[in-house]
Amino acid sequence: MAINWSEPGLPVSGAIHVLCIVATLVAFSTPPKFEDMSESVPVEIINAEEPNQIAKGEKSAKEAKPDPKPRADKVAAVTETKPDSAMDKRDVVTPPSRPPSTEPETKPTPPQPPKVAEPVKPEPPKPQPKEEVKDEALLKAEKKPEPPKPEPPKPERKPEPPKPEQPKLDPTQLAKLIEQSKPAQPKADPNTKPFNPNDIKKMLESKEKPAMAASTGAEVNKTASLGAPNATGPKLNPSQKGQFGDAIKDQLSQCWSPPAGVMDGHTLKPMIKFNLQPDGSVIGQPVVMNDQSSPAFRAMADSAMRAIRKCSPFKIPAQFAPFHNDWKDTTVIFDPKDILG
Amino acid sequence: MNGTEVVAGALQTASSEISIWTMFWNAHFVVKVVMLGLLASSVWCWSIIIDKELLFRRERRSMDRFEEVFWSGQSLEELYRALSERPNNAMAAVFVAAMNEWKRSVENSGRAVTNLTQRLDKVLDVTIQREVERLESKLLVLATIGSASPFIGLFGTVWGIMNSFRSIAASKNTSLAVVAPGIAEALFATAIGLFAAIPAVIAYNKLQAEAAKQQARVEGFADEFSAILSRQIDERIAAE
Repeated sequence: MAINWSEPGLPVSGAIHVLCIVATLVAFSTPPKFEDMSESVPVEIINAEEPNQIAKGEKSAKEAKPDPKPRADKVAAVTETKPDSAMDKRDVVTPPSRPPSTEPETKPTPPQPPKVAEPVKPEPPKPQPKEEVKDEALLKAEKKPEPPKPEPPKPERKPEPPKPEQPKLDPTQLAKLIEQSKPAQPKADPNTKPFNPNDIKKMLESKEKPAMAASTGAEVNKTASLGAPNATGPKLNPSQKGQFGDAIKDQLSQCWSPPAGVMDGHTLKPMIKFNLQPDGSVIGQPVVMNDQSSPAFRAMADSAMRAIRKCSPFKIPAQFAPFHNDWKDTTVIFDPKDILG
Repeated sequence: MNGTEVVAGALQTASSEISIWTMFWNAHFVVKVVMLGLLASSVWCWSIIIDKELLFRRERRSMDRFEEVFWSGQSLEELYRALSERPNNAMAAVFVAAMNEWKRSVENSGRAVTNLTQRLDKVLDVTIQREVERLESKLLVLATIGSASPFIGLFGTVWGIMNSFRSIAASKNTSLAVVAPGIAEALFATAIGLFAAIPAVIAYNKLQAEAAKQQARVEGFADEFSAILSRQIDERIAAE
């Protein structure tokens, strides 16, 4: 095709366009990439002593009671499960409702029976002095109706001793015995005053609150709490901590299905803290520690919360059971790569 | 597992090469047609621009030369003889056309002089119109490309975005990494549309002004030449 030099527009413009296209293809062959955001790695600085301490353990630490029980005077009508904060620790015993299948070896449970037995011990001594007094004052006691006692065992015992000694009844000693027994009675049972009709009015009038309200619990426990081994209890060492985290993550991997279509999973890692009871059940509301407002993150966090609720109760391996204080606040980072992959 | 695979897959497709070529190649058929059409119209528009620019420059130069010769006092007969074969600009064409009419009327026996002025005016008008048409030809194409190609590009973009949204709906995946290539392809159509339209609009305005200037110049010359000729006619009538 011969070029018409008076009108060279078409070939010239075609050549220019070809050049332009080639130039753009070369210049824009690779799009400029955004710099990948580098994530900061948290570094923890440890003294030289600390690993030693972790390895040896703390010799001066208090011995942890496997299942500390607060004092309870009454059996609570309603038991509520709450995350144990500093406030609730005193009053409420959350009954460990452990499903038998979830944990084969349960350390905390065996000590319970002796504990229950303990509170009963102080009671027997109380009736004893009363009986002695009654032995002396048995004759009088027979005639005088005993003030009603709240405790059921007493009425059973009282009728028994008088029977064999009834033949000894000496009318001459009656007056003496009455005098002896009268002061003895209040001493024997200082809690229960002899019924005095004059006091009725007084009793009705006194509107003051009792100095000590009976604390309630799942079981009656008369001994005062010996203190929870909170702060100085045995600690998991770092490798155990890792094992525990892996155990929790293992279980979560079966409960968690992250929302499909959340693409940048490498940036969305909800960090969720939840409270575990000794039996592995979750109490209270899991809390998102690194909350973000993006809907994708919300979806991720919600799915993580669901997973925690679904997995509850977690199966706690037996070797971690004594360290409840160290893992009762557990924080899990829901990283799909870590948990699912 | 599922989630991470989806994540990894999307990241891979997002980070895969998005060069201009792959952008064009992956575009929908309609978008491809739009892009190619816009590219062709850009080539055409630039060829018109180049041709017209060269033409106007030639015209201006030869008109300058012609006016110089015309007003130099050279005999019109000689000038006519030199140009009659091939008038090389609008002014020369007007001159040759008028001289043709003049010669036919005056030299063939000298009878038809009475209405010669009117006939000359007609011939001049027609020639001017023809020459201006030649100068302004194809400028309308520039105007059309300048005004229409952004819309054509926009059409390609809308079509491409529509398609990528349809594929979002099909794959049930809302990640930006999935949407981005489709939208980039679609926007590429608008880019080409603007690439074609902007020079077309600028060149149209410039060339239109140039054509109007030359038309005015030719009309001015025609008026002057017609005045010269009518003077000659009147002198002849008076002489007879």
